[in-house]
Amino acid sequence: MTRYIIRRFLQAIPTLLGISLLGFTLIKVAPGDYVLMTTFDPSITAEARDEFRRQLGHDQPIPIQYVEWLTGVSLRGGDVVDAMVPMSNSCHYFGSLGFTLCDRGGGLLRWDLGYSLATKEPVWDMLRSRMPASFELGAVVLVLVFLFGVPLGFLSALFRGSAKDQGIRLLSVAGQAVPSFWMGLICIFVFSVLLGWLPVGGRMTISLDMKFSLVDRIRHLILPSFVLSLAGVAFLTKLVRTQVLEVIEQDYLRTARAKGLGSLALWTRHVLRNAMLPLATVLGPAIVGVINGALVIETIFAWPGMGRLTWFSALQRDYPMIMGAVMFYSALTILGYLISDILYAVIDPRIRLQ
Amino acid sequence: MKRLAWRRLLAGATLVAFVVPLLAACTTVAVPVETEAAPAGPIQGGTWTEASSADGTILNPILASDSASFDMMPYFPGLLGTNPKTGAIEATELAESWTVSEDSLVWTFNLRPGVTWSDGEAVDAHDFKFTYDAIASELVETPRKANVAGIDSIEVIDDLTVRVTFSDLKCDGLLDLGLGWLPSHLYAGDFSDIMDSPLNTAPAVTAEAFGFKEWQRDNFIAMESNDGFWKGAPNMDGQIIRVIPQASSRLAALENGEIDVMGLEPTQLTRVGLNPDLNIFKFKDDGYSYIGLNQANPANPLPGQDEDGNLVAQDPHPILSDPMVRKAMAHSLDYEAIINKVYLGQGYKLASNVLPAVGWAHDASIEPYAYDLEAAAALLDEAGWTDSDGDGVRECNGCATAEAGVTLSLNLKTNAGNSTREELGVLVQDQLNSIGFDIEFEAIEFGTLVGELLGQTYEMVIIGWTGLGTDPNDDSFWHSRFDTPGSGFNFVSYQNPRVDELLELGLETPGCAAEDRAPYYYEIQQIIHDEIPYLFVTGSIGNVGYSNRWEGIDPGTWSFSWNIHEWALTE
Amino acid sequence: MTSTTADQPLSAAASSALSSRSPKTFLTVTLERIRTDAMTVGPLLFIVLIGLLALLANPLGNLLVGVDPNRTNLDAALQPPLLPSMARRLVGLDHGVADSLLEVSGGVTHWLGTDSLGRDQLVRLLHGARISMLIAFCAAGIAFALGTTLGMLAGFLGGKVDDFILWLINTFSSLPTLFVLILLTSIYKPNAILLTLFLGFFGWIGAARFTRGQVLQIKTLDYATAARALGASRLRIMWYHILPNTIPLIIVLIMVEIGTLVLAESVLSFLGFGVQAPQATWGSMLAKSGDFYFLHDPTTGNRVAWHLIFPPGILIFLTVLALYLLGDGLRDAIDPQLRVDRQG
Repeated sequence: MTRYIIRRFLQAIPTLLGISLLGFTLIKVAPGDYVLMTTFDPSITAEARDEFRRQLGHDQPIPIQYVEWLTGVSLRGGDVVDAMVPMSNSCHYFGSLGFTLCDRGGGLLRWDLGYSLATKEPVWDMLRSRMPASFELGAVVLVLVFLFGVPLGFLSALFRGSAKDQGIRLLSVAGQAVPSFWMGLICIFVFSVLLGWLPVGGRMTISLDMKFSLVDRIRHLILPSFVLSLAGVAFLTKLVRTQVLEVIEQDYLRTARAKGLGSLALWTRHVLRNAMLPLATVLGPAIVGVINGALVIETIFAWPGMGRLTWFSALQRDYPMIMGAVMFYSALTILGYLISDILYAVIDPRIRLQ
Repeated sequence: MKRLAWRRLLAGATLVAFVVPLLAACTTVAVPVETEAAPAGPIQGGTWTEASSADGTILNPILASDSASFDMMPYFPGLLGTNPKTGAIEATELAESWTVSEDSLVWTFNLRPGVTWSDGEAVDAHDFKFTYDAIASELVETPRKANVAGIDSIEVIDDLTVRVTFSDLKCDGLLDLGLGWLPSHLYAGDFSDIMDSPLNTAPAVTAEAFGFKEWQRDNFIAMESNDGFWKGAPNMDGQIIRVIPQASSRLAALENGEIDVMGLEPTQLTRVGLNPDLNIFKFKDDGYSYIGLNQANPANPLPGQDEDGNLVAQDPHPILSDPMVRKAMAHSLDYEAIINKVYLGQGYKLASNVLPAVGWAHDASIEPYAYDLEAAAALLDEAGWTDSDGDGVRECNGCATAEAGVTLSLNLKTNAGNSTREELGVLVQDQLNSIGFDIEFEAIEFGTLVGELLGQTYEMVIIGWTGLGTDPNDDSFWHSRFDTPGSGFNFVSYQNPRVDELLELGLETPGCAAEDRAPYYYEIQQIIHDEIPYLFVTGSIGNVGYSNRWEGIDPGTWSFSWNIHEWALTE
Repeated sequence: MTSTTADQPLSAAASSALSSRSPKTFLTVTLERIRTDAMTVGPLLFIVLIGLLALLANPLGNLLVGVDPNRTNLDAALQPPLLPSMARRLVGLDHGVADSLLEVSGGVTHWLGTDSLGRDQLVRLLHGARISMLIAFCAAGIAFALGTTLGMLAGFLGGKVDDFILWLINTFSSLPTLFVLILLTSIYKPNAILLTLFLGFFGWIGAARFTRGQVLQIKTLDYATAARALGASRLRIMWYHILPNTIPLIIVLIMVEIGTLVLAESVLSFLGFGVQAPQATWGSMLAKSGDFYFLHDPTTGNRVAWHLIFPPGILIFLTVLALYLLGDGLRDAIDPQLRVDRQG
């Protein structure tokens, strides 16, 4: 088991490196860079713009910028030690090779995501400041998905072929088929504007002397978590239904039924337990689903999470921030898949991890 | 503050959809607070809540470059104030008075005594000098370097006297001095801690009406009233700015009373107007939308001047360099309908480049081009652009600028994501095609568009200027010096030696008095109107919707909240 | 999400579909099964209808309305739908509303009203259907061509190739796809073709993983081994023996994928990065409708743009719903085991 986990972690390294290389290239090749986006302003001269670029190191070729981001080591042609020293920890000029190597500190390999260009803050701090909101919404959505998806799927299987089954199927697929932003706008319009029952957006009622209020938090959570969980509920309902149906057809259940095992005991002891096994595998995809849906929900409901942060950084071409977020999300997803696999093995003794 | 230092393109991407001068911190004209003596003074307490479409990035006036950040940091005192109604520079901020040398290059400012930061330290000349020296420092990475480019030196004569020497006379040079001052006593003298100072996200002190309290990113920023504010302690407890990205969510929050003020989209106006609890402040904003016509060949962009400052003959655009064609275009747009339907009435016709908001320099006597399709068609016929093959598109039959047989085909671009401009593009395409043009319209990514604009490889572009400010000087749009492919903002390759000369005269008028400068700008406006480097589509009108549970609000074009410390709840 | 985890039941389905070979062709059997299921036939008919409307957008638009989708008419901006008032006129209840609408529009019949530039909503919906469907179909096509090829190569060649493709699959599936798409489109603002490529490029993982699994399974089956023993080349085996057996289930996956892509396109449009103006798509029309919730007539105070808010949203919803239901139904039809279950 331990060896398996270690191996999976090692396997994640090339994956993450691949993602970082791909992401960095795509951002850097795109039209418009950070300097242009923030200085498209007639009062800023071309010289000031070039100077700004040089200070940031954005005048260098993309591979050199990538290495700098990855390792915190900058490479410049010629002897530029004097010019570089104010921005670096240490610099050395290799006369025979004709270039200067500087250690700027940081870099992904040293477990440092660097500084945002726009806010000059550490990228990790910026991510961390949005995490409570993101995790709060994500966790509530996951709970809702399981809370509704499992019983609905189970009922659907229990009444398979009946009108109830068809109804549940239709309802859950419908939840998946609505464009989430449209649903969100309509929810705000109905529940906040017309009826006035729920707040328009945000994570809490904001005032100068804020005290934590659970009721207030829940009121703010209702609409965004409902809209964001729709797709997940549909997905899980379908999965549970399929699983339950598969289990029912297994030989041992036929035997159990033949033995005359009461139907309630049958359902709880055999069907439920065995059908629940594959649920462990849902965690990875569920995390992906929440991340995918979060940006739109955060935008509509003014939810201060990580999706908007990343998106805004993309508009500004704040590449350390975008890269930091992409790396974080990828790592989170890989971790989610890993936990799924481990859980699966723990629950189901037949599975051996190797 | 923002209005002084701010001048940029209307990016109009989803996130910066509406930039309203809500919070220009240039508080002005402190009437001594006599009302306090009255038996029933204004109600104390309450929190003023605003909504912003985007979060700020950094709370440091010399590092920030977005208006959302400036809205969120009304803590830093400034040298000069702006009259909220007229935009004139006034001695309402830290500079109590000033003297100017004969050649207008040396300015000596006498600072207001007794103003302190909220930690008790005096606000003085050292703070001013520190701020501007920091911008110039190699250790500080900022796009604001241009603010110090024209300054020769800043000397502190004594704590309350500072002398600024400019290298050249520039009548709008004072605008470069508009940035907020940093509290120098909290920073290292060598500027080494500016880039990563914790003060950039949590300013510790204030010298204005509000002080920083708490900032939850992408959520809200809370500010507490500064009872030691030198113009008088605010009546309210503080103010909050909430980040609500979606325009319709902002309106819903305004109607629910969750926020007190927001910039309104034209589609929201009627609804807000019908609401008895809300007021609307409408003002002519300092921006306009236009269609830029590249007069040079996009295949061969050339600089406007050579290294010695002599004009460089441009490779003319085969269609757009023909003044008759440009004039025909100007006559073939239905400005009235465009303003009414695309801008939902929130715009006004514009004849030339100086806005009515800059009253002393605006020539109101110039008439905007009239919508007149017959005149447009006649102009095109006369210029030798006729439809000889009957396909609905005109060709060059004896025109002056192109070879015979060239069709009147042009490409029109704008930035994607701005639905107003996209609608305008569709209309312009439709209207120009109806008199024999063949316009191809496309909305492209903003970064790509900027590249094509500055690179001068486009033909026609729909774009706008915003935050043009209080000075009529806009030499960066017209002067041949700024026709530099790749970086300059005279990207229409406009070239007119007389305009170059007038722009220089207007900027270097000895004494810089408005009445002396005005004639130059009148002449510029007439020439720009006649030569049509831009098709002026509409001047911008801004609308602010705000709750009527506050009294004392007296908004002006240049600042909504200049007297915010006097506002009070009505009950 | 749906496509990546659907392969487990599906692989079981394929093997059972294969083992239950009968004189009837696969197609007829499947069709027979579908015919009895209302929740599959309904969606199928709906999709066919939408497909026809999209194909015939031009002639239909000309016939019913007779204007170009980008033809503006500012005098007739924000007209309410003509259809209800015409219907009332037919039964003699209309008091000149239809006539005054027609007078303003210059006799053009705006059955579903007009947008803020006076463009006809019905014509734009028809043309929007075409673009939206075209993008979704092409992107799904690209995704599946790519996915099937890679999956087959991986499954059949094994070894280093398999390792590499598996690594690719793992890398891509650790990305939150829609989120990455949003970042990419917000940086590149692609035109319709590039958008299709982007969507296709990020949608292949499900198909690849599924095909690889199928190939690995089928490879061990008797007939593949027999073909190999007879000296058939790998390519031939792939083409003639393995591909035909995976196609039915791939079609199912494609249905679901197309639905997801239609949704993705609308989300991208909402954020401002969909197909660029002036081209109409359902997504861009729905995204634009967000501006109209609070739009009131200045004189009457009535809300004026309901007809712009609902039709594109409902069309997207129904189309995606139909695609998902169809995918579900087809899978059940192909997989007899599940079908038995559903009928209890």
